[in-house]
This record gives sequence, C-alpha cells and structure tokens, in this order.
Amino acid sequence: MALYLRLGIIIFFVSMVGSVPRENFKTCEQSSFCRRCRKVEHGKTAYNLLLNTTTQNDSTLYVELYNKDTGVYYNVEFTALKHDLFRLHINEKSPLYPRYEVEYALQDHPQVSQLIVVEKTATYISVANGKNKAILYASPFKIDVYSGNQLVISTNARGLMRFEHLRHKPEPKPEQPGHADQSEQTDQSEPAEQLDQQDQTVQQDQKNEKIENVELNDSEFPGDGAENDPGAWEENFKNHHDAKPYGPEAIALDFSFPGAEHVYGIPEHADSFALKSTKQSEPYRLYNLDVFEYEINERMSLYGAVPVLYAHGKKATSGIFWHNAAETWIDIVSSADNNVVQSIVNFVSGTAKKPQVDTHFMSESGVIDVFFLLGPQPMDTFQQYAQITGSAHLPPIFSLAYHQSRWNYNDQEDVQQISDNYDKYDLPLDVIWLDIEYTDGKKYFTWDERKFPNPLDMVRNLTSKGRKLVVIIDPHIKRDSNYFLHNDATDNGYYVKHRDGKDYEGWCWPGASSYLDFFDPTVRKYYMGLYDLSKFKGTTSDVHIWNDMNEPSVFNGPEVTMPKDLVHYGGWEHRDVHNINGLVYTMATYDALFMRSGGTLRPFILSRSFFAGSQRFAAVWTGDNAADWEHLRISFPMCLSLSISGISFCGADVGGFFKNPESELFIRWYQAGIWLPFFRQHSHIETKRREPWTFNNDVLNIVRESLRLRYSFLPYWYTLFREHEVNGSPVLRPIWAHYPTESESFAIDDQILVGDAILVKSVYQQSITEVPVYFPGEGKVAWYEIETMEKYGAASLVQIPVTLHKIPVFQREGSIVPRKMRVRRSSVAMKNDPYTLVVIANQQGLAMGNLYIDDEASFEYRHGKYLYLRLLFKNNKLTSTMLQKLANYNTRSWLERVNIVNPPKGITKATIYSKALGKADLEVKYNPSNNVLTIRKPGINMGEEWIIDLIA
Amino acid sequence: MWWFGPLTLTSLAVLASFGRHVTQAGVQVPRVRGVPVSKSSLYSPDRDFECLDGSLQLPYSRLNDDYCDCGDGSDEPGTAACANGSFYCQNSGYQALYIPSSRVNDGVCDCCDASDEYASNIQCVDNCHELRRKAWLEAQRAAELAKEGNKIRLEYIALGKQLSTENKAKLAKLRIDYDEAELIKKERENEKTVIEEREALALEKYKSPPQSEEQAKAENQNSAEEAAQFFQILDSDKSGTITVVELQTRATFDKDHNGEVSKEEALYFLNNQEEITQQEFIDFAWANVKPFLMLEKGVFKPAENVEREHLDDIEVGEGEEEEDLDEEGEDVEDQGRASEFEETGQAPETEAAPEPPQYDEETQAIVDEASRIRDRYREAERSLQELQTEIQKLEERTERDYGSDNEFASLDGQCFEHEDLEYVYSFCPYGRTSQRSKNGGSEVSLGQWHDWVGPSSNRYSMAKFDRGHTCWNGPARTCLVTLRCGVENKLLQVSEPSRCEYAMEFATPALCNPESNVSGKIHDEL
Repeated sequence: MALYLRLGIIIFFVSMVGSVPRENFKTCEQSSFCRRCRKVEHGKTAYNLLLNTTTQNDSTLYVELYNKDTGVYYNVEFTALKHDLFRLHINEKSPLYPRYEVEYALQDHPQVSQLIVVEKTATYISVANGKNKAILYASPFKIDVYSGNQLVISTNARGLMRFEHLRHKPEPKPEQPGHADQSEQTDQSEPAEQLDQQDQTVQQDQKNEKIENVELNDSEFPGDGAENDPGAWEENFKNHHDAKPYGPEAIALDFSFPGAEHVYGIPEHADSFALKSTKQSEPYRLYNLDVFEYEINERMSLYGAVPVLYAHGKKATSGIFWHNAAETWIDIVSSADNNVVQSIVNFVSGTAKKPQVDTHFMSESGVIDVFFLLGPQPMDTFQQYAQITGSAHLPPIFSLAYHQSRWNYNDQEDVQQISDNYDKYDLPLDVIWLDIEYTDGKKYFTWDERKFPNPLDMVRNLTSKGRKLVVIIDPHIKRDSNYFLHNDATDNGYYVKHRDGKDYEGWCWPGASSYLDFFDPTVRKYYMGLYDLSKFKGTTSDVHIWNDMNEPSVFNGPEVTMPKDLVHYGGWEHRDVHNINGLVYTMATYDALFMRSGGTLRPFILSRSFFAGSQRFAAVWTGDNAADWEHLRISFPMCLSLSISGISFCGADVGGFFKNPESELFIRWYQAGIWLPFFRQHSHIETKRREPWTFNNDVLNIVRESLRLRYSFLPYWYTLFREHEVNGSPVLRPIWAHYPTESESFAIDDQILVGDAILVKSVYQQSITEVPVYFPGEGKVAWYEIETMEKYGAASLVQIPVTLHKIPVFQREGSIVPRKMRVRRSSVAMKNDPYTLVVIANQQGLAMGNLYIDDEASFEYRHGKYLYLRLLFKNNKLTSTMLQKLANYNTRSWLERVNIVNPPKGITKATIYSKALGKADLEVKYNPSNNVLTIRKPGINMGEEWIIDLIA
Repeated sequence: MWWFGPLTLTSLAVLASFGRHVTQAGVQVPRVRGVPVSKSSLYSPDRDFECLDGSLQLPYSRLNDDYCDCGDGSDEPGTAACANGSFYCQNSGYQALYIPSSRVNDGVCDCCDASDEYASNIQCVDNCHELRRKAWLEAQRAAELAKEGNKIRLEYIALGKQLSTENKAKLAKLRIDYDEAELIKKERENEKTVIEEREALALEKYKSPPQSEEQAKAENQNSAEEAAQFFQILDSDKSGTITVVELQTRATFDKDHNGEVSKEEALYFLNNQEEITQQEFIDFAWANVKPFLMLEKGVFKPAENVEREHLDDIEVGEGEEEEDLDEEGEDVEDQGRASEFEETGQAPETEAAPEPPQYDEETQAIVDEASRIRDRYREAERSLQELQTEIQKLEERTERDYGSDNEFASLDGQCFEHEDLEYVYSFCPYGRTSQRSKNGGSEVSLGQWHDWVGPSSNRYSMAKFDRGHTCWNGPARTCLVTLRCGVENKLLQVSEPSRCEYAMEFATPALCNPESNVSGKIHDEL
C-alpha cells in the first residue's frame, strides 16, 4: 500500500514499472564525447612523441607529445613503480584551465622504483623497471609494455588516442559567451579559497593569451573536429540541458593485449564475468547511476565504477587501471570477432592468429593517467592493483555473519520480534537493518519517534543477544526549514551548487532535497560530527551505517543523477568527479565512525555506489536486484568482477530486492549467498515478509543448515579477509586465478573459489536435478564435497546430482580449512569457541592453511594483538606455527578436533607436543562412511605452537 | 584464564558435571548438568555411559567433558559441544525448560536459574522466583479477566442461544408463512385466470365479430401485406427482386452480431437464393426475416439476453464493482438498441397506452375487478419472493460458525473501530474489515469475512478476511484478526506487517473461557 508515499514518488514509480527504462539512459551515440571518440579512425594517430624533449629522474621519464592536427603540446610522464607497475600520465602542456586529476582513489602516493633508460634512438626509447620494460615509440606514438620479455600491453597501437585540448567557444562575438560563462564560474565559487581565485586569475590570463592562438591555430591546423559536434558546447538529453561551459575535453586511449583470450573487470555491470565484445553493441559504460529494476546481460551503467581491466591468456595476465572519475565508455574487441575472411586467411596461412583483445577507453574530461599492472600471474596482477588503491581493513566479524534487512521493519517492536523469532527458530543472526522509514520524514540523523520511541532500548536488546543494528544514512538532505541539517547546510553553503552559485535542488526520498558537497573538507568535518553519539541520539557504537543513493540518485535529474554542470568544491564540475562521488561520501562516513569510537573500533559501512579505492571504506552490494533466477545467477559474476577489482566485500540481496521469491529460489539463494562475502537478506517495501520461517518447515530447515554452514566457515572467511588486507588478494576468485592455463575455465562465472581452498557452484535453475561442475587441476587435483567428503576431480567436467538440500561445494586437496562447529545465535557468542581443522592432504601427503585470530572487533590487531598461524600437514605431522612471532593475542579458543580427510591407513592414535604442555596422547577415530579420521579433543589453546603426530 | 590445558579442562568439566545433588527416591544421586531428574538414571556414574541412541559406549568421564562423542549429542547435555544437543534448565520455582546446547555459556542468560551460564563472562542471577511471582500475578490477572469476561461470555452464549432459537423459530414461521403465501399465490392465480376469461369474453363484443377462418385468412393477408411492404423497403434499387447485396447493407441481418452481414447470413434470409422475387419472398423468406425485424423493433426480448451474456464476459475481467458495471451494462444495451432503430429509420413502439375504450357498466366492472385481482396476484407474488429472501438470509445466519456455544452470534452485525494517527480501522465480525484515512478519501476494504483460522485447539482465536481492495500493482488486501479475552469488545491494534497484509488485535469477552485449556495452562503448571 503506497498511500502514504508522496504523489511525486508515485508518479516516478508508475512511469518506471515493468523493466529497466532504457530510454532514460544515454547511449554512446547520445553522449557527444563518446560519439566523437568512438569515431576516431584506426591507424591514423595525430600524435608524435618529441623524443628530443626527453628528460628523466630516478623513476620518471618526461617527454613532450605533439598533435599535428591541432598543434597542441602535451606532457608525458612515464614512471616506474614498485611491485611491477608502470604509470603513464598525459596532460596538456599548458591547458587553458586546470584539468581535473582524480583524488581519493589511490591509497597513498604510489611507491616509485628505479627507471632505467635502456636504449634511446631517434624513433624510440626503451626503459626498464626491474625485469619489466616498456618501449615508447615516437611516430606514430605508441607504448609497448613488456612483462619480462613478453609484450602484454600495447598502448595506442590502434591509434585511437584522443586528447581534446581545452579551447574557447569558437564564436567571434565581441562579448565571448564562453568567456562570460567563465566569469560566472569565478564569481560563484564562493567556498573556494584564495588559492582557487588565484587559479582562476591564472586561467583568465591564459585564456586571454590563447585567444589569438586559437584563431591562429584555426588557419594552420585542420583541428580535431570536436567543434563540429553539435554537443561540443552544450548538450541536451530528454528535458535536461548541460551548459558545458568548458566545451569539449574528452580523452581516449586504446590498449591491446596480445595473447589475451578474455578481459575482465570494469565493474559494475550486470553482465558475464568475462567481458563481451562490443563490436555489435554499446560499449561498456561507467557512470554511476541509480538504475531502477536493472536487467542482466547489459553493458549499461550501474551504481558503481572501477575502471580497472584485466587481460588474461594462458601465458600471462596483465591489467590497466584508468585513473579517471568522469563518465567513461569502454569498447572491447577480441580476436574471436575476426571476420570470416580473416579466419580463412589465418586458416590458409596455417597460422592461427594469436589471441588478442583490444580495448578502447573513452572519458569525458580529466587527464590520461594509466597504471600498467604487469602480473605475470593473475594473483600478482590483482595484488598490484591493491598496491595502488588499497585493500579493505579487516571487517569486524559480525559483518561477515548474517544480516537481516527489509524496507522496512516498521517499528521497534517489529525489530524485537524479528530478533526473538531468530532465537525461536534457532537461526543465527548478527545484524538487523533499518531502511529509510525509521527516520522522521526522511530526515537523516533523526528518528520517527512514534515508531521508534526508545531506539537505545531497542539497540540494547539487540546487543544483549550479541547482535548489532545498521541504520541507513543517505546523502540527500530534505529541504525543510525545521531540519537542523538543512539549516546548517544552507547557512554555511555546504550544498552542491548551480553554476550561478545557488544551491542545487533535486528530488529524492524526502521530496525536495539538496546535496551536501562532500568534496569540501569543511563539509566532511561537519558531517563527521553528526555521527557523534551525543549528536546522533539513539545510536551506540553497536550501530553501524548503510550509505545508499550515493551515485548520487536524483529522481528528477538527468539519468536520475546530478546535472554535470553543477559545481563542487574547488570549482570542479560534477562532470569531472561524478564517479567518485559515492566513494567520497563513504570516506567521510568511515572517518566519522572511526572518530566516533576514538579510533578503537572497526567501522562497518555498506555502500551502493563505489569507485576504485572504495574497498578502504565500505562493503558494497549489487543494489536493487529482483527475485528471479537470472538475478541469482548474475550475483556470482558481479561479485567476482568486484572482487578482482579490489572490492572483496561484496554481496547481493538474498532473495532478490524486488518481487517475491518462491521457496525453491529462496532456498537456492541462501545456499549461494552464504558463499559471497557480504550476506544479507533484503527486500522491497511492496514485497511479502520473507524471513526464513515465513515459508514452511522444509524451507526453514534448509535455510537453517545454510546459515550454520556460513557460521561454521567464519574463521576461514575472517582469515581470508585478513590476508586480503595484508596482501590485496581478492577473497573471491575466478578459477583462472589459481589455474591460469586452463582455458576451459576462463569464461566460467557460475563457479567461484573462496580463497584457494573452497570451490562453489551456484545452482540457479528451477527444478534441476544435476549440474555440470568444472574441477580445476586438469585431473591432477582432487576436490572433496564438504559434507560427504566424496572425492572428485579426476575428470574436469562432471555432472553432479543435486537435491534441494545443498549446492555443490568442495574443499581442495592440499588445504587445511579452519572452522567452528558450534554455531550459536551470533558470531559474538562464538568468539571463544574452539576450532575444528579440516585437513585434506594431497598425493604427496601435504596440506596447508592459515588461521588468523584476534578480538574480532577492535583495531588492537594493528598494535600486534593477533595470532596468525600457519597450519601444515606433512609426513603425518600436523603443526601449528606462528607466522608473526611478534604478534600475540590472548585467545580463549582451543583446538576441538582435527578432521583428516582421506587419511593415511592404519593410524591408531596421535600425540600432541607443545612447549607449555609437553607430550600427551590423543584418541583418533576413523569414520569409514566419509573416510575421515578425527583426532579427538587436542584441547590445546590456539595461542600455543604445537605438533600433532599421527601414529600407526 | 579460561584455558587450563586438556587434562585440567577435562577434570574441570567432570567437576562441573557434579555441580548439584538432587534427591531421588530418597537417595542422593549426583545430577549431571543439563539433565532432568527424570533422566538422571541414564547418566549413572556406576557404569559406562551409553549414547541414548545406543550408538556408542563411553567412560563416565566423557560425559560433559566439552567434546561431542555421541552422534545424538546425548553425552554433552551440560555443554555447548554438540550441535544437536539440548540443555535442561531446572528453573526451580518456575517452568523447566530445554534450550539448544548452543545457548550454554553463550553470554546470554536463557535459564532463569542462571544454570546455562556457568562458565561465561556474564553474571546471571536466579530470577525464577520473581518470574514465578510475575507469572502467578499475570495468571491471576488473566484468570480474573477470564472470570469477569466469562460472565459476559455466558451472557453472549445465552444471547446466542436465544438468537439461535429465535432464528430457528423465525425460520420455522417464515417457512409456514412461505407455504401459506404460496397457497395464496396459487389461489389468486386461479382467481386471475377465471376473471381474465370473463374479461376476455366481456371484451369480445368490443372487437370485430370473430370468424376464425376469416381471421386466419386476414392474418395471412396481413402478414402477406406486411411482407410485401418490407419487400419494397428491402428492394432498395426497386428492381423487383432482393439480392444478397441488398440484404448485406442492413445490420438487421447480422445474425451473429459480428458487425457485418456475411453472404451466408444473407442467403439464410433469401431462402438460399442469390436473388428473390416478391412472391418467393412472401412464401418462403418472410418466415425467416420476420423474427429479426421484430427483434429489431424490440418486440422480442432474446436480444437482451444475448447482449447480457456478452457483457458478463467482459465483467469477468473487471472484478469487484459488479453492480456499477451492471448499470453501465444496461446503458450500453439501451444505446445499442437505439442505434439499431436509428438505422432502420423506425421509432420504437411507444408504451403509451391508447385511450381506453368506453365500456358499459357491467363490462367496466369486470375489467376493474380483473385489474384488482391482477394487482392482488402480483402482491402475493411479491410477498412470496420477500419471504424467500428472508428465509435465505436467516438460513445463512443459522449456518454461520458462531463458536462452539454461539458466543460470537451477538457480534454478527456489529462493527468495532480503532483509530491511529492516520487512519480509522473497522472490524465487522462476519462482515468485513476496512480502513479510512482521516484526511478523507473513500474507505478501503481490507477484506471480507473468510473464516475462523485459529489452530485446532483454539479455532476462534483468529479470523481471516480476504478479497479486500486490490493494492496498486499488488494483490488483494487481506487481514488477519487475532482475538483474545477482554472484558469488553475492543479493537486494540492494527498493523500492516507486510504490504497489503493487515493484522488486527481484538479483545472480546467471547473468548474468556476459564475452562479452556489455553487460558488455564499457566495456572495449572504453577
């Protein structure tokens, strides 16, 4: 019943019912810069490196680049970075105004390494960075990057580079309108400091200087044709006008990946993990948008953007990170797209063409700033990306447990009842979520006092059971003169502004809304204060935050977001910073929660929008999916893409946000959902209640088993997240991350590896009785079904029978997985519980795994309060040793049992040795039904180092 | 420090397992933690323990040693070691309770005697006695309430019985009345037949002298003349013959109402000839044509049925507002008819009666008497119908489920309201539930009476209403009313736990039954 919703919102929804309203979003052809960039002809690059201008320091080569069609000069910087990376940076030598350089995406200044000029000729320069090298060709301009001796990335090989220099609007009127626009620009940038005004002055000067140049240029050079585009100086889409005061300023560059069979990455798209050719379709688009009822198999934009792309072939993995926050489109052509004639030629010539994927990045503004990730192994490449954009801090363990959400739990009794029912039905639960309706009229940082008269009591009732609360805080601010936040923001000029300096006003959940400008450090500081427990009444340090709608979503804006000609802090247009808007918001929230606890507790934030680097601040989910099988299917590829793009903490709304799941879909979604890092059930306000007990007993029992399985694997998840934090390894991995030569697996995205030990196959077809499972390892690696311990892997592709009770999940031979088998009502209650180790030796009798233990909630681990154990099984000995000798944590957990799958024959007992205890005998018990030998109750504290000997 | 090493740990667990002693049959036996006295004998320290499922034998020291040995979890009744185990809280002074083993030492006090948190950080206090006191007070209050309410309930039952008796009596009387009325109707029908015969005779002399053959001939003549007349109309090109094409221009002959006159349809009317002369028309075709012309003039009624059926088809898809549609349907029908008349260019025959002829006194008396008797007949017919309706209504009522003792009977026909900030809700037992916005707007039905849906032990504790107004882009609203004992009928609370699924709470003396298991349960146990 939508009676209480405001009329405007009803109209908004009515107009969008059914399916994704494709016509509300631009195609490349409707976007003037994409249109221009996509039309660039192959092989006719106008750019030449001026090698005689080359200079260098320890890590960077500086050289000028010249466009012979426009006469414009550019500065090229080519830098060697640590961990096998190069960085290419290109900007205009003297731009008319400053061009935007992305902030906040990189973790720190990337660490440089030594760049050695190996060779310099009249036509090229070759440089080396350790074992890797690059050759910069002068004419035509091209950069070939080598991983070792293998050419992996060729830049501008197809000559699609385009760098539209800033220019004046070519109208020879006495009062130049472009000029006038710029003056306005200067006047309205109120919050800008003196420094900024100086910049503006400089810009003015440069502008005046250049006017004659431009005219001169007109006569001398054919130009880049941008002026001829009707969208060059203003653009209209639907009813929206984009003033484009700075005119055309697009950048584009092509990258070819010789040897690559597929490319991956550039989330977020509801598409296959292996990216598809865009030869016959729209390019992949990166422009963060709130897409209502999005559909799958689409290259349309979604809520977030990470412009990192990986190329993988049997011989090498490489990648590029396109460090740009403006609207971006990416074309992909793979060698599989070769036309028939070429194929015949190849066939006749007897040389099957080497696989190759060509890509073309096109962005609306900013500069060219590209990082080359040189692998050579897949995991190396992922880690290189994490080196520059960072990794997630170790999540508090509750956030890896189960979350129950709904738009909306109606009142505090409702919340209490949900929590009580989880106990009543003996289901574990860590977090209950409140969506927008908890607020007083969508005024964030307030409570609807009628429905939530005593939020502190509500929170206390949850925490007494070891549970947490998450509440939503969105970036739109209700324009209501009785709302302190609106008044503060208005009085202090905290809102994003129009070109004329007036506060921008859009439409969102509360109705008329404005948007805090989080690019302004003053605004961020103000915002952080709002989270203070004394200020945000009704919250405690057990209340965590959900940031939604941060694309930003503006119901009545162009493509449901902000107009591009709005102005942010520093005078930057929204156009320049759009894709990083969501990140900056969560960054502020992270700092706020960090401050809230005085830096002692790990914040948990969930964000819908994201950019490269968002992993440092928030988990993300795949937004407003739907209760259908296709959406269940796409949750794996979407999170795989995010995971290798730095954002490991990913999940999809279990059950599907829109519509009502039937019971089989519901069950399958839980079974799959427990294997994604972020595990939350959530649903739309118009759907039926769908807590696990609302179906029937069978459903309840199967869901309970799934939840218990998730909780039993929490030690493994937690260890993986710690390792992600330390070395940037994605938690979820595609099969090829560990089996890079198995080309049959390159396009598999309904199977994921959790870490390197667990293989999961999603089941996403109704009433299906068997599913094909690909077992990596080319028949040489055995995989054991985690419950029956049945052995697979001798054949690569096997049809596995499935019942409703479980989906196929396997543990790899050679691995040791730590688990906790005493599943309780919340992860907090399990903190001191003992561990079970599941050991599966490989054919050589070896198995290995790690276990990380700390207090699961605070930042004490950053002060060495943790345990990091290496578990090694070798020669019938299982040992636990500290990987970090200096770290220490006083755990109450002990070793409950060791399960040795497919054990050596004839073991009758075991002994344990430790420094503190000396030697003790242990009982063993063999279970022939699953071929598991259990070592009974070693009882040793996990803080000890120990050895367990199996004795025949 | 929690951790004591494996050996100490075991001994600690064993020690812990002898935490309390209980007296059973006069002998002191150590009670194993988490086991009820009734099962203590299964955990005897004198012998090895056998898993309760018989799967394994264990030394006694393995009981409650914080390691799960038995597949059925029976060796660890007092620890959290077994995933499928349960822990027994004695809760002396209050209700004993089994909790899942996972709640032992989990930092939450689950047992009121604090026995489940014997080795956790949390300090639980034994509050069983307090709980008992509270429960006793609560039970006392509930009993009081039930007692108070029961008085009213008994009144309801009496009232229900009375209503039931009354209804039954009323029904019996109505049935007699009905039989009587039927007799009267028959009687009057006979009277009517008689008088109408007399009337016909009396009026005879006012008609042309009856010559049956001549009349028949005249009728034929009339018919032939009429036929000839129509032949002229239909022969639009005045060729002396009517052709298929000429008929195809007339909507009258669209037998199947599909909007066009097919050749087959035309041939039907033309005696299966392409062309037909006037004589052939009179002799063979007229018989087929005439009914359709009359239909068109509205003399026959069947057309109405046809259209009605058609309209019914449409209604199926439209759902609830049948009545409105019916009215509209009639409008459509009228329009349809009018347009056909327009087409044929003929006005419908008016109902306006011609000037009544002047009769002699005797005839006039007979005519008057006939009309009086016709009126009386119609009256009898009407009252029979009314009785029929009333009987039906009453029969429905007597069949309604008014509870085991008719205690809900007196609520039938009543409505109860509840106001919150935005809406006024209404609950009419056996009728419907609804919602009205305080800011105006029409009432929204949250569902019509479906049935009692409480569990079999307490069937009348829940009532379901369904088929309410359809939600925008969603299902029809439904409402589940939960009833409980209260000294007055009161709609206590209304919520919408899921979109379009409402929940009401209603207190009524009708559910106050101190004898029933449900309200007496706690009382018994204490």
